[in-house]
Amino acid sequence: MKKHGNRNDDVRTMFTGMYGYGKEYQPARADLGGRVALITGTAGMIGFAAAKRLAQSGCAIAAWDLCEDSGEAKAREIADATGGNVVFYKVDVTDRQAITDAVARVIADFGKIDVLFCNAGGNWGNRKPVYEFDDELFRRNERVNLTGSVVWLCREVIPHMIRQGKGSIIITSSVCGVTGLRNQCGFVGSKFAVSALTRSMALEYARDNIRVNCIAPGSTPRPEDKLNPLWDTVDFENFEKNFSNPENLLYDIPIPRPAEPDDMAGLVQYFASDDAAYTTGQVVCVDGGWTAGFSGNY
Amino acid sequence: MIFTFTFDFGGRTALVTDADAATMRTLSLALSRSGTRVALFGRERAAETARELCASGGEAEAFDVDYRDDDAIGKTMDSVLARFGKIDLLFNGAYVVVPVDKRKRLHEFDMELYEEILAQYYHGLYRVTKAAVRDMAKRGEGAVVNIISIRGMVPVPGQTPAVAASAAAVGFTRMWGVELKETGVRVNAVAAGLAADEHASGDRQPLSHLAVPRATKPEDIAAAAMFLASDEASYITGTILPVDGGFQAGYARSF
Ligand SMILES: NC(=O)c1ccc[n+]([C@@H]2O[C@H](COP(=O)([O-])OP(=O)(O)OC[C@H]3O[C@@H](n4cnc5c(N)ncnc54)[C@H](O)[C@@H]3O)[C@@H](O)[C@H]2O)c1
Repeated sequence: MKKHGNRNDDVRTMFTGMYGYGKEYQPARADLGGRVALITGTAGMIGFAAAKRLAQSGCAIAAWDLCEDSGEAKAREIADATGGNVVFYKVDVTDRQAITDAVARVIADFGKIDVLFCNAGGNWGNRKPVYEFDDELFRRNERVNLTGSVVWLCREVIPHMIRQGKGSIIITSSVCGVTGLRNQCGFVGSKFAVSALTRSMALEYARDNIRVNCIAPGSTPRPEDKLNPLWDTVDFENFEKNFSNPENLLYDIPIPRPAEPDDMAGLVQYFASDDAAYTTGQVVCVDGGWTAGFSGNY
Repeated sequence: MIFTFTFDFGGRTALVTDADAATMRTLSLALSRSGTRVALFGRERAAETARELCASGGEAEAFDVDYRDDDAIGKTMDSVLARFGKIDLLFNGAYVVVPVDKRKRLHEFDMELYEEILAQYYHGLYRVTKAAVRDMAKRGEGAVVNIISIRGMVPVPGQTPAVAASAAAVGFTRMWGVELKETGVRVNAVAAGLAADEHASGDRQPLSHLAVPRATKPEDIAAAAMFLASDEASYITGTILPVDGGFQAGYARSF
């Protein structure tokens, strides 16, 4: 393991090789040949990584995103890299009719949906306490992360899974859907709600052989987030010093690196597979131990 | 109704929302007895409660508000502040349950009811809290107690919007609670167990799951809420206090 990276590049390359970050570890392979996965937010980091992993495992992929150009490009990239069948659909999940139409097209194109990964979403806000929070952005978090991405989409897909007699639904929540982070109430409300719906849906559909599970990612910076204040204070020269500086995020995160999208992809693949046949209603944090407790010395 | 506890809230003003609900009415009576001036959000029953409080020497006024209308909430909050000058304590009546005959799994759930419940118990909770905390933050002190359903901690089937709104309220409570740093306002919640009519109406009887085998009474909730709002709880913020007969603690049935 490399002892430390360097400060001169984006967050991704800064940490490469550290604590399983980057390409150092050996991903597990599942055999999901013949299955069809519908994944939303595939133009984004986590959706892309999950789609690529499931395609490598043999799934055909219906890749949804709001962004047409990057959505198309990413879908082609996955198809080229894996030789898999990847079809892109431009869908805005806040448009209920668009969801209905697109699910019908997926069924027409692929015949079934075995795996649904409800992942499109975002954290919109002005980073203010509740009394100064932006109302429009508050609403957008709820419309996209809760109602569109999860409630409307699951309503459309579940009847097909019931008919098929089997299905696996995976939802993306967040550490903000498990613990309270201040100044982002739009995001926190929407993600706590989907963490709970994971559990109520698991109860509702267990006897239809549909499992519902949830991943709760920790801080997964975009490559361009070079100046993300959460990571900006990292001292690479004296790496251990980060662990005693309470201003530094690495003080709080036991595995001292950011999350990367591939960390999520592995769990998504597990939940999608039959290895998880007895696992339902679970919310699993992939956060380097961030929410496990308090890693300070007290 | 007999309370064995007393708090002295002398001179404070409390806003109680969803005051038509039995629990919030009980809480309003107890607050008034403890010297609190009470603003109530609600319809006929809230107005009735306000009249009762005034008749017994208290100070109270009811306000009709449409939770689905963001502008209306803002205007009503302005009227409360004009009438009482400030809001020290906010008790959000955020307890929501889907009526038995409307309980359906997600793919069959009535989406109009879904939107209605979210409007009042998710967006309404945010709107009312935002306006009240704005006033509290100006003075650098205040307390919010959200009265929510235990369904936010122990999800149940058939009640998508109630589970979603209650869980969101758990999240709001925890994060608004740590915003104390910026607002000076403590925020906590009471997660209420099932009331008597819910025990009677459900198709599966949860009593055998309870360590305390009886339904939740309004007094149980009112007592916990007043404690969390009081100065006795000045070190408590961002917590959810389940008042549920042990429902969420573990598996009380022997097997
Ligand atoms: N990145 C993090 O630190 C982090 C942490 C916790 C949770 N999450 C969650 O992970 C999920 C994936 O996010 P990401 O990290 O890959 O970020 P991302 O921004 O790279 O990807 C999100 C994708 O969702 C798409 N999207 C947004 N609104 C949409 C809509 N209305 N309809 C269709 N698509 C829409 C975007 O176009 C984008 O491609 C989100 O639900 C996010 O909330 C991310």
